[in-house]
Amino acid sequence: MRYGRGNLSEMIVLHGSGQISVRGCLGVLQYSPEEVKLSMKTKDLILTGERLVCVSFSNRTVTLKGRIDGLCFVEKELIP
Amino acid sequence: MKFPLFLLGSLTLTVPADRVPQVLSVCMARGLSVSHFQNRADGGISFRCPLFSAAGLLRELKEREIEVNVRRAGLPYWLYTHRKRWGLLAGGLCAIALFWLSAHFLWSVKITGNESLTPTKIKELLAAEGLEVGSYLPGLRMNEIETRVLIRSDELAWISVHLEGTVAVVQVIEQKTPPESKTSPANLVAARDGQIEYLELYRGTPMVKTGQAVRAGDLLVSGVRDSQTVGFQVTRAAGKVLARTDREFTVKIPLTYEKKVYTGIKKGKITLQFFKFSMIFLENSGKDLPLCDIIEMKSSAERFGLSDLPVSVSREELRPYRWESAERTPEEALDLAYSELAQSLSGLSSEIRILRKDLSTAISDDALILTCHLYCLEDIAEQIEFEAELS
Repeated sequence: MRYGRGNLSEMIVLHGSGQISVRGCLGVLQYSPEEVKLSMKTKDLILTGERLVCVSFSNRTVTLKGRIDGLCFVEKELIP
Repeated sequence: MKFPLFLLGSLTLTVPADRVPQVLSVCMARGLSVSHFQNRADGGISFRCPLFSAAGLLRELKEREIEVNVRRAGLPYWLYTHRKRWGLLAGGLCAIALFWLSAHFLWSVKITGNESLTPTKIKELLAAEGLEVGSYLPGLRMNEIETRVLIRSDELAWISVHLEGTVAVVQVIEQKTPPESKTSPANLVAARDGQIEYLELYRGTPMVKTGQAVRAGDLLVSGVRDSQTVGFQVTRAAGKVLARTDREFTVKIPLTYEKKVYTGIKKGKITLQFFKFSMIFLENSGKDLPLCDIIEMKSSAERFGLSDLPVSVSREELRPYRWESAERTPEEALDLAYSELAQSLSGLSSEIRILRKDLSTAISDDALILTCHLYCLEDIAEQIEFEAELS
């Protein structure tokens, strides 16, 4: 599943329910095995699941693995 | 990814749980590529990033008062911790230099296509023109070497030399000489005394008959024919003349003889051969030994399946000896005599048929004499050419 929001620098690629790549991150707001909150350009993205672990990130692209139960967009928070 | 990180060096950062978002955000803002993420039991994480990009990261984390645990790894760090060990550095540089240098020298010569010529002979021809193990490769001109080898050798019709890395592959084709067709006139004469049993004539005029006794040198078949109509004609006489012959072999074995007795083994020279260079490690030439046998043993990397390596170690073994007078029993002398006789008989042509063999022995004061009388049936015809002027 791919998701792009018009702005081509942002993209979310979900591989089944085990891996997700998010391009266009501006920062990490929260990181735990159950919840990861990423700061995007217009909204923040919350990923929930179990045993979430970052596999790699480079050049504003984060790849996470684990059991992904859900993702949702919320209003932006300022990056600390 | 692991090997480049090792070459360039890396930092492994361990971040406590409450600082993970800030550290990851800083990494993201700086555009760092990180890997080897691990979640820790206490909620923290650890990850690895290249050394060259970590300096700025650590500085920024320090400014933000974020404490992280840092562990350095990789080749630059290893070199830094071993910077005072000059031997390691020198050894490493020597190894690199050796690898580089060795690619410029010939390691092996492989010969293919030879039939009667031995590889050793061909290698000698090549070595005379400058191509041998240890030759400096950039200085070799293969076309010139091929031409000079062909000029030097009458036995080669064609040769090709090309390099496969540091191995010279040599292909040869040997000269094939067509069989000579002999047309000059010849007689058949008796090679030895005998009584003629059978005459098989192909060409020429027979001068003997079955049952006739002949002596060595007698004319058996003449190459000259007196034609009643056209005068004398010459031809190359050919045929078989089987005759009964006898041969005698005598073997004399002295009962008293000088025996070589070794008095010990001493280590001689040990030489390391590397390409064309040799280095002597131990030198004991044995000059103070009046009589000794010198045995040279060469060991190479063949036993390890590395037959092409131009490295070998040769060891000399000195075995001093003295001569002592010894005696043989008649039985020992007889055994020795029989073995020498067998050796002599093995030199006879396989076409000689032995009809009877008579053996006799005699013992004198100082020797045993074994006499063997052979009665044979053999072809005694020998072609002897002669010159004829045809008018």
